[in-house]
Amino acid sequence: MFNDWRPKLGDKVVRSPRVKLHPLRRVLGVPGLFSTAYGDLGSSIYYALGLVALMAMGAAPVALGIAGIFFVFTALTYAEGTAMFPEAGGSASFARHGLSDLMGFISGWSLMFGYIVTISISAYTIPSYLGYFWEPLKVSPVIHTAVAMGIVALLMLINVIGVRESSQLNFSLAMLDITVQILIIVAAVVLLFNPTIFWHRITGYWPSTPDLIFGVAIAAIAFTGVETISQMSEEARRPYEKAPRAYIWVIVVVLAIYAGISVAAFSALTPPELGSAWVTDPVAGIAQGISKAILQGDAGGLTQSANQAVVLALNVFRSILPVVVAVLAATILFIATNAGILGISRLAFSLGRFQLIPAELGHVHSRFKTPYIAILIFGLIAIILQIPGFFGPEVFANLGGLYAFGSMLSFALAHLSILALRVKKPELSRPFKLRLNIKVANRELPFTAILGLLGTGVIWIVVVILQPYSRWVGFGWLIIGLGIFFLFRKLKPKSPEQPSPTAAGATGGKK
Amino acid sequence: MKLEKILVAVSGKDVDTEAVRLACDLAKKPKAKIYVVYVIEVKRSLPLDAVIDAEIHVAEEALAHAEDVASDMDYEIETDLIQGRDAGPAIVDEAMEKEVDLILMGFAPKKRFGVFNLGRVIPYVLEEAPCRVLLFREPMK
Repeated sequence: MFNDWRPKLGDKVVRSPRVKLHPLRRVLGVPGLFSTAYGDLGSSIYYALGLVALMAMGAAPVALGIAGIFFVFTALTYAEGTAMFPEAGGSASFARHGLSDLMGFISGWSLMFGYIVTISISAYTIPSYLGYFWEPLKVSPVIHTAVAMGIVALLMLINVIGVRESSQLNFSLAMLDITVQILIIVAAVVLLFNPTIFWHRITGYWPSTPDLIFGVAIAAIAFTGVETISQMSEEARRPYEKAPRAYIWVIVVVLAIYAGISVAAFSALTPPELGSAWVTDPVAGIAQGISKAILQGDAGGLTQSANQAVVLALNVFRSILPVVVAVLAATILFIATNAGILGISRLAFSLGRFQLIPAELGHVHSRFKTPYIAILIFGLIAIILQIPGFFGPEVFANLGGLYAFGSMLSFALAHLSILALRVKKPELSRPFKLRLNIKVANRELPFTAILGLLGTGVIWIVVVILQPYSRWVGFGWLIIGLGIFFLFRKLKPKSPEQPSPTAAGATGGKK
Repeated sequence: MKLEKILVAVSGKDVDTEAVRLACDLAKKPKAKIYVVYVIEVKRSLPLDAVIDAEIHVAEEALAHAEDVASDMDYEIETDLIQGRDAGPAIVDEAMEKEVDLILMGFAPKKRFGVFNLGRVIPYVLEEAPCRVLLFREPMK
């Protein structure tokens, strides 16, 4: 019935022209794309810092800085790719266009793994922050893990039913999040920063070279969500123009916040404190460090101020800061967990549409109109990944390694795809074209994508070599995926027409 | 009142019939153009351009019914099926793009927790639409 009709991209899609097709209007602009991406990227601040400190100790800011450079390269690569192909799928889409269906599948499958781990780790971090109100949530592995699993299960249920999500709420929370993070940075710098102590905490706890390298690999988790803008680009107004701008904003804000929060963390806590007692809730540790400094009156002499108003304001600030951080972090992480579930279900549907995975995974529930199979299966895998949490806190570091495995592979393939597209299809329109190109055989190859490919590729290899858990679970995931891909292609050869008009083939709905 | 273009938002309910009839009555004298739209709301767990056959089937039936009603009134209408995240913004966007003079919506009275409730689409359109909005409410049962 709709075989000749192809949907266009935008916030609003005019379906099946009954009389005439008219142009589309897109609703998401740069602020909308930015706030959605920051919702993801900003949430990782609440766990990445502790994880990186656990591995890289005093070199955590250095590890974050190096990972930040690769983040810039990756974000730039995504900006070029998204402007060319503003469709859900992100790096899977670039790889499908630039490399092959198989590489598109590997990229998409790795990306799905990244989403699953994001769901697990975001949910796992929530009880730590809520531990401010009831300590067993943080200190008891059984209660901690059970609550984290419960959060994922609850969100699976909510998303199967399909409760409406407020984009205005997301925007407001992203802004509140940035405000509180800036407030923490300013407070820590004004009240606690001491260059000598800061320098000593870096050099005095400098890690071994393998730990530093692994710390850089783990620091990639700080940049979860770089895919988000790409995934949301199909809902953007003039995506070829807005998506690259949103990426530039995200790069600037995220790097600035991470640099600031690293300084705040090392001003308030020592690296061993950050990597042990506060490993799962580092921002709560910073907030407590600030409060403690004010209480003890060693906050840069401000608490000895004769001005009663300043003392009163500092005391109020000291009392409410840990509560605000606990509530805000739990809320942001809850939304990030939900964003992971939404992201993976959209991605599964998208991959199914391009016949990269069985479309049945994206089957839509007849009553709730949601891809319930994808939500239930991938949500369940996220819960399974949390099970080791019952036996100890090592699960947290392992999840970090797993994220690095999935995301670095998919980022490396994104860089490779952009380079391949420059070689194979130089004539394609590139609304955002990366500069700093090297000319090879009359083809322009972006220097940042080459460095990005090398950097993310090396980090991936480091994770594979140094972390047995990530190696076996990650390769297990890839082998299962490749099995599904080849079996699926054997049973159901790809039709020449793509994308297929319906993922799922049918919705099982009323006819 | 200038009345050259009317947008009727339908939802597949009984009230659509009277809403389309009313639009035809209003349009006849000034020979206004009538657009009838149906918005499929796509959940955020699906890509916006996902094809949901069951929803499209319902929408097509609603639009076909609107065409039949207009045809009975001896009037020609233009119909569109739209997918969006929220019906309210999609209707307002459509009205702005088509530069309509009036948005007409039918409404079957309903109560939620014992309180009269307009839902979320109608208040949004009433608040955000730049043009006139006419709300047609069915009689109480």
